[in-house]
Amino acid sequence: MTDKIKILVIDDEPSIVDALRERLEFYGYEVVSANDGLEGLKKAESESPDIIILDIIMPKMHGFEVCKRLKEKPSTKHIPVILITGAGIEDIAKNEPALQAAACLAKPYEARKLSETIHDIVEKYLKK
Amino acid sequence: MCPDQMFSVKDVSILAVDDETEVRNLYDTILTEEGYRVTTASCGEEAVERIKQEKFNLLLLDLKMPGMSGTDVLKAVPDRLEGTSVIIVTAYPSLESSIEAIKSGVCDYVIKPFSPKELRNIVRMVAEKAKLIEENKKKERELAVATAAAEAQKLKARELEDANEKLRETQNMLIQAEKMRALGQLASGVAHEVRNPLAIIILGINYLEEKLPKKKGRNPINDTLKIIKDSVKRADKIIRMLYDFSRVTELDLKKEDINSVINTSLALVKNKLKLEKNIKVSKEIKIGLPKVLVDKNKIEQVFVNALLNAVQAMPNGGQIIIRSYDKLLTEPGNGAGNRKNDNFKVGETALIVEIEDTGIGISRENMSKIFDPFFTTKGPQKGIGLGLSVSKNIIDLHRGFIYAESEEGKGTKIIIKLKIAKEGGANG
Repeated sequence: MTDKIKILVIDDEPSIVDALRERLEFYGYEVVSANDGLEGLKKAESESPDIIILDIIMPKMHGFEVCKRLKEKPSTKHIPVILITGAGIEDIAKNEPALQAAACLAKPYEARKLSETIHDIVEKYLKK
Repeated sequence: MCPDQMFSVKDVSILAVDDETEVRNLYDTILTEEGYRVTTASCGEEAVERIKQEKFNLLLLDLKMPGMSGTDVLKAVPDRLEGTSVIIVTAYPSLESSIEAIKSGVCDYVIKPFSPKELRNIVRMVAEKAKLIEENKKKERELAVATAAAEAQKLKARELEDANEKLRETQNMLIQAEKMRALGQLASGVAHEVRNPLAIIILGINYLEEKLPKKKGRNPINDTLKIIKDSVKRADKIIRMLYDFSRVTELDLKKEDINSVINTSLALVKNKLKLEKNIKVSKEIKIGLPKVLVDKNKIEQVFVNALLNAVQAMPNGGQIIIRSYDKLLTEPGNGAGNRKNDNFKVGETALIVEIEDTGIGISRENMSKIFDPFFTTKGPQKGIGLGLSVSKNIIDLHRGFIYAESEEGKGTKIIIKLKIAKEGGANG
């Protein structure tokens, strides 16, 4: 095991997963991925990521539902979640209190912006 | 109609007053024979007592009597004699006594001596007349009741009409809201579908930015990357506008002072206006205007949009005037009338806000398109053509009306008509 921060990317779009993996690895993070919400929930337990990047609009299971379940499970509820949306950020804001997301990002975002967001979360949640 | 059918003599009660016994007997015999109910009195005092006890239809009254005279009787109990026909019986009618008697409400005269036939005729005539008057009064009362009922019905009809009108307005609003909801679904679908590839493009550019050899300053690689990035941002902006456009489906209505909404809108564009040193803004505001029932934020959006359009229409400077006033709509047109889409009636007072500029104006051919979605003359850098169509949507949802007047080279005036809030009620 390294000291690298492990990020779980849950997104149904393979190209986005690939692009994010490339960028995040470039920034020095370890990346695991899931192509839908159910797989994401499993990996959130089996991989014990430090941070989860979660797309909202996905087939099979909506991102909000995934987020809710993550926050209900004792084994995953501590993991900060970054919600990614293609719709308006207002929709997330409306649901945010219940979702307890650490941050929200609207697509399209620049890699730098994501990196800053991750950095903030590391500072806030992961530095003991 | 035959008079016999009109009344029955049995229903007619008569008080006959005379100090002479023979005359009283004559009355009693003749009139009882006719079928009337006859009571007699031998003096004025007795007559008064009888009248106090019973209401008579007819009074045969001798004028000259010892003690109380006939006129004294009439004066003694005027209230009790209301509705009673009075026939004066006298041997010596003088003008004076006649006038006095008529003033007291006397119907007719009989001059002594009279024949039984005369008496029968005159009593019958007066009784019939009284009956007719009574019938007439009854009819009048019935008519009044019927008229009141008709009025009530008319009122009810108008209430129904109003309710129908309101229903139709609500229906229009629902249709409009439904359209926007459908567009909203489309927009959020498009937003999601298009933003994923846009996200990939941006991340791809970020990758290239790292990997391509870095050269300082302007060079084809940096320029190309910047152009791609700007294009992504533009596409994203269109999606956002479309998304925002479709989201205007519900209003948070409150009673507002339109002048304070105008002031907030001006404050919102203050910084932008500060940069435009050659543009002068003036307010022509009417104080004490009635309140309007509006979603303040949405109306601000409309005003801000119109103000920014005005700024863009005056690249070489000019003047913006923002006006508010109320106006009685006297002519059909511009949202007033009886057509399905008219939100105002002729004769209604509307609250009007005008935003006028001295800019380049709108050509005649473009005039009909300015409220269409995605219509723009500004070029892609300045707008995508949703501003005015969003404004129109907002004003439509308020059941108001927005239109423009313009002359090329002279300027444009955006006119917004709003409904005045009804008195009372909380927030509608």
